[in-house]
Amino acid sequence: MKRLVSFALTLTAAVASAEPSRLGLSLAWFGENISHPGARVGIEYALAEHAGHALVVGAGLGGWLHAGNTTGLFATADLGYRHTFSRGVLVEGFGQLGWMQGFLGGTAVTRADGVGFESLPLASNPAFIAGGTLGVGYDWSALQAAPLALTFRVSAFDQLPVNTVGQLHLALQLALTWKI
Amino acid sequence: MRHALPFVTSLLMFTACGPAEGEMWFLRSRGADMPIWVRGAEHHQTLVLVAHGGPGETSFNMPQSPGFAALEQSTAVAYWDQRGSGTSQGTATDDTLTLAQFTEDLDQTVDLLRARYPNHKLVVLGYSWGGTLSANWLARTPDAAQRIAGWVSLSGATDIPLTVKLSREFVLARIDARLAQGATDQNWKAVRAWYDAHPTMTAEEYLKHTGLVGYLTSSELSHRSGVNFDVIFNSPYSYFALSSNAAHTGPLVLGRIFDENPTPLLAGVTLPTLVISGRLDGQVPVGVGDELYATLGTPEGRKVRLIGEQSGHSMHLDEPALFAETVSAFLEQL
Repeated sequence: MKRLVSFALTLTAAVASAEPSRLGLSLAWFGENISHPGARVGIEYALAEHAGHALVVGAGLGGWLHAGNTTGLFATADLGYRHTFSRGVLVEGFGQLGWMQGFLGGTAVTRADGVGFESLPLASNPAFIAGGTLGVGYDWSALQAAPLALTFRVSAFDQLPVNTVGQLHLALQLALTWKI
Repeated sequence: MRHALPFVTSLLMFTACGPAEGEMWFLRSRGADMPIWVRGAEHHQTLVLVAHGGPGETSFNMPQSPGFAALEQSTAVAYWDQRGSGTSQGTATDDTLTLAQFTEDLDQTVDLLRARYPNHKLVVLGYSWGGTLSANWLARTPDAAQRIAGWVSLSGATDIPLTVKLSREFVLARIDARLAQGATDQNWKAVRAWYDAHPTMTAEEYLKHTGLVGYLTSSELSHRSGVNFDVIFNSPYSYFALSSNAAHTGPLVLGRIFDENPTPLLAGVTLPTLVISGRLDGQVPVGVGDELYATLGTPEGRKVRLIGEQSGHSMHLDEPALFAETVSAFLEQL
């Protein structure tokens, strides 16, 4: 928890003192299992940059809908590396830690009074999530063309616990990042 | 940027995942959130509750099987995923993965469906381990048989010690036949030697043994297992949830139920029952169904025995038309 607070403070301080183009806001299409649609909004800051190499911290909020199964909402803290080549092509890798709330995709009920059943509105389960993302994209700001980057990402993260085990999720993302 | 637009459009079209067909319930009980997917309730007056196999497997890949797809033309079906199994969620702990708790869960599921679909005739269908579970529920729960209209055992392992014994004999007969035909593969002799050295099997050894059953019978069955993209990408099913739940729950629960045999207690049950087996089933051989049929207290004429000559463990895959027609005819008699 201390680490999380420390990270949040670092991120806030970094954002407050951000130079132009080091700070980015992103909006992504998020396809859990490819076919379960969702979205993710993110903020990121390049802690260090040199010759196209960047150490990047970030945070994201998002969710997806798996009809009849789960509506997952999540918040993550991200740390990763990005290399932007001189012609604008970028590759990146991030690690993520976070929290998710999985809302049941149907009418939840439980036994009441040993006989009947009562509804449980907005029944959900909390879980930690940990995972990583690999991405490839194009950064128009590298050529001074526009403060935008488009990145295609493949993500894998573990949801823990589901019962007593972890449940793997795979997701695709297509993110548009606006460099402030 | 313009090159990316078709790609983005394609992704969005691919993710046009609509709502799941039917009604979805989640029964919360002792840490488990167990999904129940009810399909076709508005069209039919019978409702078949499916208790899946495993332990730890799922029923959510069954609606797309040819047998259940055909069966849904004549009845509503409720696909229930048990605690710690398939797409079941929540925080069910290992100490709740007992036959007694699974039985209590089935009891609650029956009551929930009776409460939500009061005008439907409810029938319980137990597949493989679901047969053990539903048999145990009928045998050990007072008035259970009075709350449903019928029972279907689909390759039900209603007597686990007998299941293990006959499954072993099934495999040994096939190995010996291969050796008698002059099989020169030393591996078969090694496999035979392993069985000779293990006259009885532990639950862990039995799990390995079932893998050999599948190998030995795969060439004799008409259906081939394959990837169903509609199940994976366009249904409430979750492959990764199933794989993690089944890998944990299967061995754990099997070890706890390895000596269970509720069949003798079914002599007092007079419920209309359909007992289905596959002649080529090496996991729950025909003899287990024969024992169940003979033991049931149900009078002749109200119990039906069906053996699929071309079926293995899954008649709904191997002889789907025979499966659907026979179950539908059984339901019509209720």
